[in-house]
Amino acid sequence: MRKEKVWYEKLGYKYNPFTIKPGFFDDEVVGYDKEVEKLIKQLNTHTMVFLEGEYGQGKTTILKYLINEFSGKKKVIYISRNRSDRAMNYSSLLKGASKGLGRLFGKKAKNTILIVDETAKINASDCAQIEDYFDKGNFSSVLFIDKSMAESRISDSIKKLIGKNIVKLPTLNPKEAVELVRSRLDGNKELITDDQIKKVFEKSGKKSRQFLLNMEDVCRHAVESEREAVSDEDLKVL
Amino acid sequence: MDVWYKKLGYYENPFLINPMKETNDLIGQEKQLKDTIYYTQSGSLVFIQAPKGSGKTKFLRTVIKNFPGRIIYVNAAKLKKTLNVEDLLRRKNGLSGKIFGSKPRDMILIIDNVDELSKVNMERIKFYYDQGFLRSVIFSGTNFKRIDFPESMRTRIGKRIIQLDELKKSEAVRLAMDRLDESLDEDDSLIKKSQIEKIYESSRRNPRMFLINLHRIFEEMYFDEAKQVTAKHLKILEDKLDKDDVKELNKELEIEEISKEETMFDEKGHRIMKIGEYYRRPDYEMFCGNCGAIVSETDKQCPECGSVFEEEGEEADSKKAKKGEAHA
Repeated sequence: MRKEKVWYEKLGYKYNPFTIKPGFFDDEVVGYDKEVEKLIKQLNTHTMVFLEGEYGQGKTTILKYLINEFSGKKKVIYISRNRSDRAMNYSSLLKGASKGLGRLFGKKAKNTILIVDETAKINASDCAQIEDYFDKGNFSSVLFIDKSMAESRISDSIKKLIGKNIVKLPTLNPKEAVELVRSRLDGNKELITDDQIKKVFEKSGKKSRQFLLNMEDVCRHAVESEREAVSDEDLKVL
Repeated sequence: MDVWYKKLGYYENPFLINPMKETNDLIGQEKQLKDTIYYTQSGSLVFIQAPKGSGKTKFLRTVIKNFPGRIIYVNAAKLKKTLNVEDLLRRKNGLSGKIFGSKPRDMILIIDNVDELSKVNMERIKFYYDQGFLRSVIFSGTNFKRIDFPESMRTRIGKRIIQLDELKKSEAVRLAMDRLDESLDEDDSLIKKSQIEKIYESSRRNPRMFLINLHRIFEEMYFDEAKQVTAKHLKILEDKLDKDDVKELNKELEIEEISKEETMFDEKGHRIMKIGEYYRRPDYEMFCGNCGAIVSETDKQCPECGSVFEEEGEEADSKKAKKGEAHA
């Protein structure tokens, strides 16, 4: 049986502060305020949008933030289109999203926002249904999320509907990287200096996910070496 | 007829290779064990890398002991190809999971022999990890680089690849002595340290081969009606094993044989076949004969690979073609 505390527990955290699970810490979309604002604005109109971002840049984190943001205001249907190769049944999704009596009578919800994460397995049938329900107003707006729209399998007519509504996630800058860590560490300023954070960020190829993984390794090494603050020695684990 | 280990007073063959059953402690791998336990607790995706037969499953069993009740262990090599990770999670949630389709949170998933896992299942695992149903996932396989992980999974694992160490000679000796429950180099020891080392070397330092060879030597000693292992018995290692020998040894030592048959069946006994990267049921599903993507009856062209299907002329024919392979 495991008894020894792990590094973050020793520092008083219950969970790993550098977890890469999207939306584990619901506060943060550090560095993407502008993009998020733009997305919210667009999703409030009748439109289709594509959010592009590299692996590990935080696409799914933003998605979770958006779902939170719209909760209570608008119905959001969220699907991850990579778990099966069968087309989704959008009609039953919409029925499931309608309220009260409407649901009882199998009425399809109107004015919902559809979010499609990971468009890898999307096919012609998906696209046709999405377009149809978009025209009918069941989907007031649709957000697709993937690495790039050009490489995505969505149909040409949907691509046309999206047009220039592509939001591309920029890479974090060092200042935002520091901000991200400070937010995750929740006020602990002693553990690591801003300069050290920037160094780790530099070594992580500026990718947020790799950066978080590296931050975890560095801080763990420091605490396990019984240091109260990260030293240059700990940065060597990278 | 008696068997060698019964004659020596063992209830069971001490060299069984059944990591699910035997209870001996893990030998070596202290740093690897510590790291794996840490990553599992802190919520990461980890990859355990080691050659075949070097004790990955044994290692995973040891990890499991540290997280009672929270583990879902899957040996991907034994899986029917139609496994759905979602079902696994639901089953773990007991009756309410079965009825309401709810899934437990914060589970730890262990996928042994991930080389055999389908891409769709990997995507599912990623989804459940991202959504918080899975706290962490441990994969094991022979070589991280050769596994067809989607890029998104690869970046989630990052550098969390744990390479198991090869057993040192002294550790191999300890392994053998633990199994035999013997002490070393007394006048009446069954086997000498130098002999064990020799056997380990000629097993190309592979723990599984090592245990198999120990078994062969002890059996030889029994046939010879000897009381100790001698150089004469070690000579059996020069004999090459043929297919039947291997089969028999696998059975005797309870090694899980993983056969790759041409015809495959899912858990309910339905015939399945592999098309592209998918496993399909030709009796029930309509799919593209080229890439395996599910298509609808009305599709004239595959939405995934774009191949054009043959037009069926007569009504009867098209009914027949409703199920099964759509011809490209």
